[in-house]
Amino acid sequence: MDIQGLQSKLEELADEAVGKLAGVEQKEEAIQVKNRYLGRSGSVQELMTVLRELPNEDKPVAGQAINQAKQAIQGAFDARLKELAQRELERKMREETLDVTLPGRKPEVSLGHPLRQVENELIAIFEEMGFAVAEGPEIETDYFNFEALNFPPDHPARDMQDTFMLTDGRLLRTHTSPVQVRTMQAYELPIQIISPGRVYRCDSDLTHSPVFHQIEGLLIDEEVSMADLKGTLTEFAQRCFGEGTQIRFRPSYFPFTEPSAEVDVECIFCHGDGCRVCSDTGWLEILGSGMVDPNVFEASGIDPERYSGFAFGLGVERIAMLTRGIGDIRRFFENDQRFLEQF
Amino acid sequence: MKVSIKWLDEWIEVADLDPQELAHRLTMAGLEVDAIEEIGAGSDDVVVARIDAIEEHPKADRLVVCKVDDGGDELRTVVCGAKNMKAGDRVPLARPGSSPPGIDFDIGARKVMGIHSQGMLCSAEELGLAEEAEGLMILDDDAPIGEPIFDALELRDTILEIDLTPNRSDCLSHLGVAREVAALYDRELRQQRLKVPEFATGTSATKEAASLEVVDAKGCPHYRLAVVEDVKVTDSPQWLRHRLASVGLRSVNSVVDITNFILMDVGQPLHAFDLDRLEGQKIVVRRAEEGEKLVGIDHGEYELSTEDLVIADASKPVAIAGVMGGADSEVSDKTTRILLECAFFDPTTVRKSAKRHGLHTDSSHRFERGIDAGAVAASMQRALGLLVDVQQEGAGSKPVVFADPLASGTDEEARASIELSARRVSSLLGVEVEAAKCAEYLAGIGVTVEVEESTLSCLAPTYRRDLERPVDLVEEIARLYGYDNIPTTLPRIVAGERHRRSSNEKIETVVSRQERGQLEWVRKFLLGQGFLEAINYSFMGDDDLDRLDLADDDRRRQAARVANPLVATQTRMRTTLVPSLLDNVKTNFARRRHDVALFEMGRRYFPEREMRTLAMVVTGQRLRHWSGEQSWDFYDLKGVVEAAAKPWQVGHTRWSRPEVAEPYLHPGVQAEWFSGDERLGIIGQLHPAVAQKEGLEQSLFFAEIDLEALVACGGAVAVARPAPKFPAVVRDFALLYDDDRPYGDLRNALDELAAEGGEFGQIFEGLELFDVYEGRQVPEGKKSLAIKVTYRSPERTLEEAQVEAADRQLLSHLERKVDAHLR
Repeated sequence: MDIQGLQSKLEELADEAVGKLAGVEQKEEAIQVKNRYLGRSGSVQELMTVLRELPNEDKPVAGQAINQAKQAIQGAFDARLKELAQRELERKMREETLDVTLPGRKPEVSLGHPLRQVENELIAIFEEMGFAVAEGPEIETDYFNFEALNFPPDHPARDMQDTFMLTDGRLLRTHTSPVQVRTMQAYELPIQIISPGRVYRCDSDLTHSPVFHQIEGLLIDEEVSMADLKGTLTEFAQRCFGEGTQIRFRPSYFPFTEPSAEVDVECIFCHGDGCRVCSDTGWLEILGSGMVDPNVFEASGIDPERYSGFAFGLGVERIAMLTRGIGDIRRFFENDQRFLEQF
Repeated sequence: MKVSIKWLDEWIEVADLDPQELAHRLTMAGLEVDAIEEIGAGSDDVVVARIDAIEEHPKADRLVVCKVDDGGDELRTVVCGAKNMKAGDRVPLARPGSSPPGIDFDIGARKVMGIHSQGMLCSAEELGLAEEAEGLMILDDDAPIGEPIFDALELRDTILEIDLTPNRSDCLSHLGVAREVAALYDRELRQQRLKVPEFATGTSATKEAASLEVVDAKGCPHYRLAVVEDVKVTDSPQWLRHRLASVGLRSVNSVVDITNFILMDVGQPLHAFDLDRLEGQKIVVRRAEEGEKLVGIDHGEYELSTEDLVIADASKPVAIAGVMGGADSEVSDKTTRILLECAFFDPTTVRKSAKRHGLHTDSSHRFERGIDAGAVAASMQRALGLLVDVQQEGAGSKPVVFADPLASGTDEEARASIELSARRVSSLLGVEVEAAKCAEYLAGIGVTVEVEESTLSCLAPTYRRDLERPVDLVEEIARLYGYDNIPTTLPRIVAGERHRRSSNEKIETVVSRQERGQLEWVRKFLLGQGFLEAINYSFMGDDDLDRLDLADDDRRRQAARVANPLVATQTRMRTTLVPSLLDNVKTNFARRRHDVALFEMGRRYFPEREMRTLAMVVTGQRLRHWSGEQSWDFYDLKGVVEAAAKPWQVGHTRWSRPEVAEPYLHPGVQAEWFSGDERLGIIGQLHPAVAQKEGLEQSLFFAEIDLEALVACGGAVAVARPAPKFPAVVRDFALLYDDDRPYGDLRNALDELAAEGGEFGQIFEGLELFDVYEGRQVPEGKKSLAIKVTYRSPERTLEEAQVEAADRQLLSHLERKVDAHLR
């Protein structure tokens, strides 16, 4: 075979190999094809014997031609493998494709019991305003719950709070005010606390529960006035119900405060126009408050000539019912998950 | 307290005021008006009609057909079932479309047994004017035909329902409310009405007909007794019946009605006895004797206590003082001689009696709160005067009031003097109110004031028993100044300074922010884990601890007992939260929710202290998913509980089977949790027998954790460890281990070895259990534990020899201590 024959043979082989490689579908097949041409006894390799028989002056040209053929086949082989790998990856990804619209593993989470949520919101507001949180026992003595708060024995004011008595003579606190008494007796002045917690009254209907939650506040210092009480509760109402919320004070009676006031907040639904929730009054009765009665100070050894203070209290259930649209107070205590999950 | 505007207008001009506006003013002055009722509103089509003719109903014996004239062009035909009327009578007619107040449907024009009836003739009951009535209401012959009935009867009125606070007993009468209106509107009471009536008395003195002995003057500081004879007890005149009806009182007879009228008019309760039914014509005011009884006018029998103040005749109690009279001596239509009592009883004494007997009457309500001690004599005079007038007008005869009523005690003239400085007023209210202005406000409510510079010397009127101290007067000034007019200021913030405890060591109330934050983290963690938060009552029922099969001497049996529970499920203070959560599970099961994960943070109440507690219950699926489900089990709950303690950094804790099993939990599936010697809580599966009793077919897991114990662990801020510089060596071992030996023993043995600090201890870093296997290739009675041990040195890369030495020490220690062998 002469050099021309070799060259054309090589071209023919290369074209043939490249053509075959383009048609293979498996990696193994491609290797086989490649080996058939470039392997030890492959067709290109075989032509090396022809090279040896060529005249010396033709040898470099022939060598170059062989290398060219080899490179062409190797190149086609590499490209094909890459293509096959890419195709394999694509197939695999197609197989792995998920239905992303199927539900995820989502725990049924809640932000907590609605009462606790409201309680925490209220506590946070008062903490921002400088009040510290105080707690005390729920099983109380007559002294802390009544006597030290200026409820004389056998006074009609006690009827305002239907009391659960225990057989051992103690009682279930009817308000968190005993915590105020305990604080007045155990801490140095000035005092600025709120006392959240459970309280008890023998009453049960749509809006009354024998167990409910209160937050009461107490501030004692020199020169505290009723104007300060109004300012503090106005500030609270605005932080709780929104900027511009109006409140009004009405004279009332609590044994532990004098003067005493009921505090109405502008109806959060109709903003004063009158609606079903506020019985067309435009106001919601939210807080009780007043200036600490001198008898309360004296019972706890505080000089009413030097110190003055104010106290207030509100019901957590009432605010939760208003803000969460709950009509029956008993729903808070059923612990029906369908109810709890909503919050 | 119901106040009739018409009645009030007798005392002070109010008819010109808009009731809404009046109600608002009263409310803003502390007399909260709960409701405003317009009597006669919406009844304009109930009118006076004259019956022209009455014919039999062709189809019904019991009905008649009336032709009535209601002022219209034609006579109306009305079918009627009543019998008490005759042609010519004037009666109320409800025209079609009207709705009389005593009927809860609209009157229509309809056929009654074939006759077209154009309206309805009404009884007093149907007009809401009487509780019951037979037959039609027959009106006066001069009632104007066609006029709305409430106008014709002059019954149009507005009733204010006032929710009075206990301090304002002075407003428990129309006179009292009139005084308040006078102060608010700066108006005068009507002089005519203020005058106490005069009338001629008989020649005989009262003492000739009756005698009075007040044994207990402390319980009864003032008692007055009048005797009246030639009394005719009749029905009350219409005006009196209407007055009483307007404030919700039933008419009884002329005498009783007069006492009730005075009560509502001036606030003085009175009682009339039938003198001839009193033994010995004698009244003794004393404490009851042991075993005495009284049948009250409500026909209830009351066993009296020696603390009850009673009104007795010569032999027996005839009334519980200030609370209720007796049936035996009650005034009836046969009564001709009455003995009228008017008194001031000690508020506490009356209150105790009323409470003891479960009675709450209009009379006790006023005595308990304190009536006007300065007007007893005048009120008696008012009642007697009215008695004379009413009988003269009605029966046409004159009763004889005996001269010189008997009396023990006298009216109070004035209350103690109160000194008030204007400076005090200003500093307490936070606004300057001048002394003269203060004096003006106080004078307006009947306080006698003398001003000297800025000091006010005040005498409160006898009807304002609530005004005793300077601060009481400050409230009055604030009220009249108007709470709305007090400015708003902010006090200086106190709590920025720390609350410091004074000498009282026993009491601690202020809770640190750190402590609150820790508990709050636990809440949020559990919520994030998919738990819902429960809040239950603090109560449990008597049988709740039996449900848990607790032993008789169990500490939790010493639960405080409620003396006056509302229901049987709320008789005790709970000493465990488990029964509440068990009930919550049942509630959810009943609503077809079988996957439950609830926690509650609440208190347990023991005789000595209240313990904050975290309780949890889980059952069913932890997470439902289409790809497969995962049921809650013991180890889920154990893991959650351990993680929840993170804020307290409790460090090493241990779990063990309790020495005495918790009876409500599965004996093999329960564990107590300890930090050192401190018991932190218990978790376990509900005992299958208890579950069966409760009708629960799923496995339930409970945890009850003592938050007091956790809080006591304090918690510290974690300090970062430096990142390791040298590589770790990790070795896996498969160990054969006794099947019934707890894994905890191995863990403890390993910790013990680590603590010794030998070849093992020096490089031991951590242990992980990654498989527990029983079955093929593991001998009977054994299990295979696969553990991963991590070694590391902080100073250098470990050498193989070091690791092998540690391994050897580990294996021989485990072999010796817990009989664990390499597989």
